[in-house]
Amino acid sequence: MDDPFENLRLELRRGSLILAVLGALQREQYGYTLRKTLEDCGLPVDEGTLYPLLRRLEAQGLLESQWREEDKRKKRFYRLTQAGRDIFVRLVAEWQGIGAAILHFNQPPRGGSHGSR
Amino acid sequence: MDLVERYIAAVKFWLPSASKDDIAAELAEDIRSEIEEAEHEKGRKLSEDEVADLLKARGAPMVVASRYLPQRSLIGPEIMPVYLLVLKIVAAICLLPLVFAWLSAPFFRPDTVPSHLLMAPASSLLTAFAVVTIIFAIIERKGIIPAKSQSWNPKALPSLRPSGRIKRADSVGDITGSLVLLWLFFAGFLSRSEYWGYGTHIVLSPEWVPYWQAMLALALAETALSAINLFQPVWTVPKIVLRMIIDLAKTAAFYWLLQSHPLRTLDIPTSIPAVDAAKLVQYVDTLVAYAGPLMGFVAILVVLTALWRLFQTSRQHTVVNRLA
Repeated sequence: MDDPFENLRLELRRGSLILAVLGALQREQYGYTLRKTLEDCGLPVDEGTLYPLLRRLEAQGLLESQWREEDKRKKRFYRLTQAGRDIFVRLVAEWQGIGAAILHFNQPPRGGSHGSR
Repeated sequence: MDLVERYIAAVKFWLPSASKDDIAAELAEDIRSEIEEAEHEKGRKLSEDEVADLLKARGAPMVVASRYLPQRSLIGPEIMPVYLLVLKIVAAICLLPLVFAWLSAPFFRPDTVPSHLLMAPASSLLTAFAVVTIIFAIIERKGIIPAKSQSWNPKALPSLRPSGRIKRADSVGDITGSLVLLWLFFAGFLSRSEYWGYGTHIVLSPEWVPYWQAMLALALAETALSAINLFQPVWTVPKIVLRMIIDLAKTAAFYWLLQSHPLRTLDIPTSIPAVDAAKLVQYVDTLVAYAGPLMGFVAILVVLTALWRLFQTSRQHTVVNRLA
């Protein structure tokens, strides 16, 4: 429970999850299949996190949803709005910038010592 | 399926009425999809225990519902430090008179101290905690402090005067002491010069009454000064002078009191042979003989302290001017 790695990992994933959900909803899906899609891509997320997140993103106008019948059951389908698409593109650029910066810091130091001059 | 319906109903209970049906329908669909997939994998219907396990893994209904609700704090992290500081001050103010009252109760005639007076600080502590919490909850809800913190001005920060800084604990101590005096005065403990209790009869000089009145006036001035110091904890010239005047006035008042032969008679029950009342009165009178030099020494200390504070303040100004 108090494993620092686990806590930090969860914190890191929480921020990335929004990006993953926006990316996955470029194709219309309902909640359960979205959860499966994320899980198959290595991002398992519990329903208690996913559904409230979907509602928040919908309230922000980034997603839109529609109740439809499929396989004789009513399901709520989500997809990205135009505003969501724009935000997604900008967030991906931001995320790539962060990734590049972190990779840069992760490079082993190249000879010499810092602050020697 | 009955278990799932009961679970959904339990979650719905905690959801806001505007969105409960919508959330419940989606949650039910998600659970059904999960059950369906599990049944497909096993090639049979799930037992009630298996469905119960599946629901247990999702979390208690109230916890599940709470994830759909906006995150709310009665007192948020931004104002929590201020809230805790105020609570500590309130606790000190409310509890000290209580401790003092309990300690001093045996020295007074029981019939002169109403019992509700002794318990008053305890109930006032609870009331004060409730009032402070309600006020901070309103501040949190209205977003008053975060809004104010956005318009803060770095130039309005207090000057850097580490050596001339007044400890907040000192200011809180001064305020608490003054309030205890105030309470004792208005409770009637300090407006007479004769006391009884447990067979003991103490007669003091009548000068004690105006002495306490003067001390009360000084305590009010001290409270005002300490309240200012609490929020602006640095010495300035007017504050140093005021502090010195208050301390000198207290010293002078005590000197005047000592001149009045303060302890007149002391009747102690014969059941306490170790205490010689006459000698005790005599000791007090001997002490009075040294009152002049003693109070003079205290007055010199007060003036020296004020001069030291003035010196530190002027030195700090010089440092700040040099930095500027």
